[in-house]
Amino acid sequence: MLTLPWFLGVTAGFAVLVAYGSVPGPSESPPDHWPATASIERATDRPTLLVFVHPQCPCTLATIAELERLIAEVSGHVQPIVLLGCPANQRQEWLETRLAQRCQMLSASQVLADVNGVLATQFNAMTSGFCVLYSATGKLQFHGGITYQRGHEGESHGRVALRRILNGQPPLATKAPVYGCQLIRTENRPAPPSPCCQEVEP
Amino acid sequence: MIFSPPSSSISQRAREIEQADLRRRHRYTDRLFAVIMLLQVAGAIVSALVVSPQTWMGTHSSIHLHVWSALGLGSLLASLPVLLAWKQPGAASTRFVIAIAQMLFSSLLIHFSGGRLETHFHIFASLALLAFYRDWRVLAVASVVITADHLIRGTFWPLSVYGVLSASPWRTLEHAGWVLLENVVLIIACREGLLDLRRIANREAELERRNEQFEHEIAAKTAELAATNLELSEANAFLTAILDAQPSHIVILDEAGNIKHSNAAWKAFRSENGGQSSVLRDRNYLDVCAVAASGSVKEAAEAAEKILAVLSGQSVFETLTYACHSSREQRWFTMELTPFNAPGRHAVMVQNNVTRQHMEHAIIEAANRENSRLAAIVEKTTNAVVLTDAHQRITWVNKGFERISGYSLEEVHGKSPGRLLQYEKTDPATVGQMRTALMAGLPFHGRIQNRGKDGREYWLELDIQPTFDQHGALEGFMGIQSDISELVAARESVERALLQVTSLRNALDQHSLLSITDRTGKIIDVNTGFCLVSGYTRKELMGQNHQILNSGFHPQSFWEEMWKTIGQGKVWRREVCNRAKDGSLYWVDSTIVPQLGPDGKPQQYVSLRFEITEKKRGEEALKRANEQNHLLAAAVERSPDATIVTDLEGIVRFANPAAMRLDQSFGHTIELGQPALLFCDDRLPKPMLQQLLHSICEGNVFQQPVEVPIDPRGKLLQYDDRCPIHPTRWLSVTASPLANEDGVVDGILFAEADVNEEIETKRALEEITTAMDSATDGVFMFDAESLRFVYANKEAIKQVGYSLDELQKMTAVDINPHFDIKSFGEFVAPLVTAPGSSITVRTEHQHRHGHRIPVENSFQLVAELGTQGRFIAIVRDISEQLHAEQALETAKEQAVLASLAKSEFLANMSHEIRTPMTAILGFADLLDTSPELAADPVQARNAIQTIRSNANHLLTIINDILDMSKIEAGRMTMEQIDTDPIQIVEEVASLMQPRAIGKGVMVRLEYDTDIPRKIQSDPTRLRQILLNLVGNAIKFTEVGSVTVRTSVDKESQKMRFQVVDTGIGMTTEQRELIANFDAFSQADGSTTRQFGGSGLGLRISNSFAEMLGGRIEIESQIGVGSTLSATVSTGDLTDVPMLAPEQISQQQQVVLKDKQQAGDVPQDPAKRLEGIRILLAEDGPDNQRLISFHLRKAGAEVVVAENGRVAAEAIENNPKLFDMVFMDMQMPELDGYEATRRLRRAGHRHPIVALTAHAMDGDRQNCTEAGCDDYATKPIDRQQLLDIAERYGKSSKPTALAIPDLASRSSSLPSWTSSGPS
Repeated sequence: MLTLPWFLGVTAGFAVLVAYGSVPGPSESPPDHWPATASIERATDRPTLLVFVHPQCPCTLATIAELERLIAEVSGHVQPIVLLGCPANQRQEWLETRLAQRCQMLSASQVLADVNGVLATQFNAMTSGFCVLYSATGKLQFHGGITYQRGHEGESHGRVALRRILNGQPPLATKAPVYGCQLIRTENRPAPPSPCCQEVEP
Repeated sequence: MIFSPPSSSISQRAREIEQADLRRRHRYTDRLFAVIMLLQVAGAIVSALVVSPQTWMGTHSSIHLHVWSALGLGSLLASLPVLLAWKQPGAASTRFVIAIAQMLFSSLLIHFSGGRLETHFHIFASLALLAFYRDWRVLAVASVVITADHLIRGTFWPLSVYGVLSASPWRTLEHAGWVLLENVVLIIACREGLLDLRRIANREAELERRNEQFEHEIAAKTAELAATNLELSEANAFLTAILDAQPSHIVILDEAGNIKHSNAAWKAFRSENGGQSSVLRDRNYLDVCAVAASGSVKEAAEAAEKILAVLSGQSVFETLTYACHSSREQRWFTMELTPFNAPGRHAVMVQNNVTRQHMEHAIIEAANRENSRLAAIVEKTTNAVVLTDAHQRITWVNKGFERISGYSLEEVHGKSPGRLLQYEKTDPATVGQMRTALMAGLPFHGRIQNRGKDGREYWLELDIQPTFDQHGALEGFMGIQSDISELVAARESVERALLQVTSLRNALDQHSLLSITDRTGKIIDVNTGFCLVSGYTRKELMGQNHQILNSGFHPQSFWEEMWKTIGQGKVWRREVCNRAKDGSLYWVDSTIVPQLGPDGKPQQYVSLRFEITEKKRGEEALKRANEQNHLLAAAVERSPDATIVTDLEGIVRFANPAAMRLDQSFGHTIELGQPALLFCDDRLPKPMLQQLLHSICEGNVFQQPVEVPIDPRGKLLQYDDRCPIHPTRWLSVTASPLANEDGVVDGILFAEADVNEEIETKRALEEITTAMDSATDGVFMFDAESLRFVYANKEAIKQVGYSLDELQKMTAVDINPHFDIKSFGEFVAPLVTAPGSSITVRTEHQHRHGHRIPVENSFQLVAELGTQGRFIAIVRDISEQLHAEQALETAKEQAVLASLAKSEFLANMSHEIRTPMTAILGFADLLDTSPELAADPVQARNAIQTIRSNANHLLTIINDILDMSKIEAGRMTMEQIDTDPIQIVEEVASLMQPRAIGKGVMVRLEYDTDIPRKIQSDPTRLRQILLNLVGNAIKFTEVGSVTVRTSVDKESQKMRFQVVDTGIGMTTEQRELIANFDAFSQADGSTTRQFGGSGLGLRISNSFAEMLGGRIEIESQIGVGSTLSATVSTGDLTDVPMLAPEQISQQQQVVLKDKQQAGDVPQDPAKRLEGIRILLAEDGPDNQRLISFHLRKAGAEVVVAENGRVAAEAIENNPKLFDMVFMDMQMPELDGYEATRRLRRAGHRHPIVALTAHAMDGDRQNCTEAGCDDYATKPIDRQQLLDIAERYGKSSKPTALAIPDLASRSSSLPSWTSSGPS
């Protein structure tokens, strides 16, 4: 007599879980061109890939894993820059998380601290795991996430699209949903020039 | 392994073991999975906390959904399995649920991991654990669940299962295939496990069976062993008991001659001889044996030698006899030694005390010597001595035998004496006894008849003694015979004589009483019969005189005659009555025979008696029966009841004279041999006749009254011929069965009686009783002398509560508390002296329960009843009557009082009305008839003022009377509308202020609590109440103040207005009189005269207060002042805004200031209505003039219309001409109601104020429904008129149009205009 309600309850729980994992975070389109006022420099010989990360977000571990695979697949064809958002008054604590350490272990990547989310604001990054690809000429080529669900590694449309773009193939998509926590952002005003953004010591 | 198939019982047991093991395994696995589930939940929670504890929104974090999922979903997933594992471990449903849940855990894990390959191993591990159940169905369920999950999620969310964007269905099949493969392996393993389980179960069952068998065998062997041990123990005990029972001293010796065992006799012997029996064991025999104790070295040495010989096997038996004397006696012992192996050589020594035998031997030798001497004697005696052998063959006889029998020794030697000497007359029984004794070796003594050689018969007295040898064996017999032939002959003759006497005596004993007395009459012998009949024992009778048997029945002369006769030696015979020992009497036919002595005189008297008691009794019974029959016959002959005896056919066999008379009264003559009347021609109803005969045949008595129809002449009719007009008679018929000598009923005894009168009387009595019980009054009957109740009907019983039985034990005074016996006797005495009269009195009866009931009793004496007459008391309960009388008296008193009060009121009102009317008419007359008065403005003004004040006073009285009338008629109704209590209080104070100022009395307002802005009440009546109270307070206060205190109790929803004055106050009596709120009373008449007033105001105010949910309370102190408090209901004050007292004060000041600012104090009346145009619709010329005068004086422009039609047309033609309308509601042609409705229907919105003389609330409602905005009652108060005109005239001002010149108005308007009254 209890079996059926139990089974239905479990099924409902599964459904909620799946639904949660399938809901992407908020996202906006970044600037079509690399902002001149951006406090970081892009690469001029190859595309630059910005990855905005909330150092506390557990779901973004999957993004970093996929990034790692992507970098391996397109080695040398992209300049990855990982931006770790942190509040100014808790900088050190936030940059010592497992995720931050994992980011620093990425090969051929630059890891910077985005204090108070200035750059996230500048590039309209709202969700952790948000990737933006600019060409060597500074033109926006892709923005979005590279995982298919919260915290789940594996093939995703975003990663496929990025891979194709970086391999010079025509992209199947130029944007993809992002699954992660909401990033730290400043008020909506242009970010001042550095020194707000500093390279994160490994 | 091949094993032989077990038997069916073993198979069954093996199955049971297998099933039990399987259940145990299932339960264990259920619990294992319950623990695993809990661990998985815990692991999920810990993992979630470690991996994704929080979710972030910028710098703000919250617990991640994964943590909640782990906790909630994980707990839910584990809940049912854990619950079932706890409550239903081992059930199939439990493990199925566990299988499903475990697979779902796998799915969850795979989902969380995003389809990581490693997490799929959870499935395989779970399946392996589920295989613990050894139930392929569990694996099947789990496989179905996981396959479905893979299929569904693989199809829709392949990334969550396989980690790729898209997955081919083959991948699901591949996964399912791996699951299936594992299932196959696990099922095979399960099957093998089950087979192993079965084998183990079979072995266990086999083992159990063998163990059972072993146990049975062991138990049997054990029982056998125990039995054997028991037998050995018993044998040992028996042996010991046997040895101990032996009188001989028995000792068991071992090879060394040590004592191994000894019996009790030996131990006792040793103890007796100073040894210690307890230490005998293993002591050497020679140390303790009697031989050693004997002190004879030689014998001791000889004994030792013999013992050793036996123990060593040299000898198989030894014996020794020796003497061992003690200080007390000489003793001889024998010792016998016998060897035996047990194992080892042992010997048993039996030592016997042969002292006795030794002694006997000595005695025997002495006896032998004696025997020789006796033999010589035997030889010489005359008695025969015969010696035989054990077979009773003669071995020797003496000379005496030869002499008696005639045979010599040689002739009889070797022969049996019996065969030789016994002959046909010899008693066989004696021979048999002798033979039996001799065969048993016993002595014999008896007598026997023999026949000698010469044929002579002779008697012998035999004394045969057995002889024994030294061994005690029967050796032979020795018989000593004495010839007693002569003695026997003599004895026989004596016996013959004795036998004759005995026979004779027995006969006498059986049939007679025999006694023998001496010549003095003392009993010297009696027989048994005498003792039996008299009851005395022989011992008691012997030596007694026959006087002890004297019954006293016979006179003394009887006995004297007897003694005289027998004294003469003559036989005397009579019937005598004696008394037995127990006092009973018995009769005897007595014959006394004197036995004469040698001198011819009686020496003894032999009395021979025969009992004749029964015969005498029979004679007396017969005599009594004859007497009774004679009496019975006489009774039947003389009986007034008819007695008839018939046979079963109803044929008369006997009839007494009464029966004949009765039948003759029915016109029938009884004849013997003819049918009785009731049996003739169906005189009785057939069912009754059948019932009668049935009862008779059953041997029962039939008894029933019978109503028989008769004709007018009294002749008995056939029962079926009866009809209602025929009279009837009642007969009591009793029919009893008569039985013959054999007990067979062959007749009927009828007893008939005419009970007609009795029946009729009984019916009449029943009717009277029913009538009595139906009476509504109680009827008592009691004895005139004892006053004890004889009868009471139902109503009487109900009145007093006692039952009839209880009343019959009571007297009349017991229920009447106002009388005792004496006073009651005096009370009813007139009834005794004047029979036929009656006495009626009102008194009380005491009920059983103690309360008293007022009654009206009517007594009468009926002298004919009872012995001294009976009192009949008719009792009526007058409780209700008394109540009614009392109520009537009370109502009468109240009516008288009310009538008096009304008369007084009317007289008062007449005065009150006439007084102002007199002033009004008087001053009006003065003004009319006295020009000088009219010409003097001051006097004229005074007169007018007087007329006005008296008119107002008259109006007040009229209003009070009208209000009182409405209240008394119950037609006064109250409104329940929003009422501002503060406003009312202030208005009242404002109105009363001039009067108070005029008297120099200050009027103050105080608020003791917060006051609600509005309450639900009737403002008009509330104002009236306060005007009355404050007016009275001012009226009765000459100096000081009148304070109005207002307060509210929100909880009880009551508002209280206290009017406190410093006036003259009231006495207690005055206050009580006033507090009755009697409609027609003031404190007293003097106050009316001094202070005026109708006296109705307070009553009316109290009625209003009660109708408003409260009342008026009065407190007063003479000379100090009074406080009258009026309370009214406020309704629900929830959410009603309240004003604090200080706020009220401020408000008052603001209002005051506003009024001051608005120039509202005081205003010139002439300017009030300036600019207001009023249409007055009034048909009465006086009112036209009066009202229009007041309005114009106040500055209004007034147009008058004489009826409603004119008024309606004026407005319809000039709708903007007027600001408002005063509309009289009672007008000809078109009344105010219709005119108003007409104007409203036409859409005219002018304020219309109704002028009406009707003050009822219904009239106001009618006015409002007609369309009026307000109303004013006539007579119109000028101030009220101006207030209303100002209010409505200024509130509605249509577009200003030029007022037409009044002179040029339409001819439809009257000519009289605003030029004022002429």
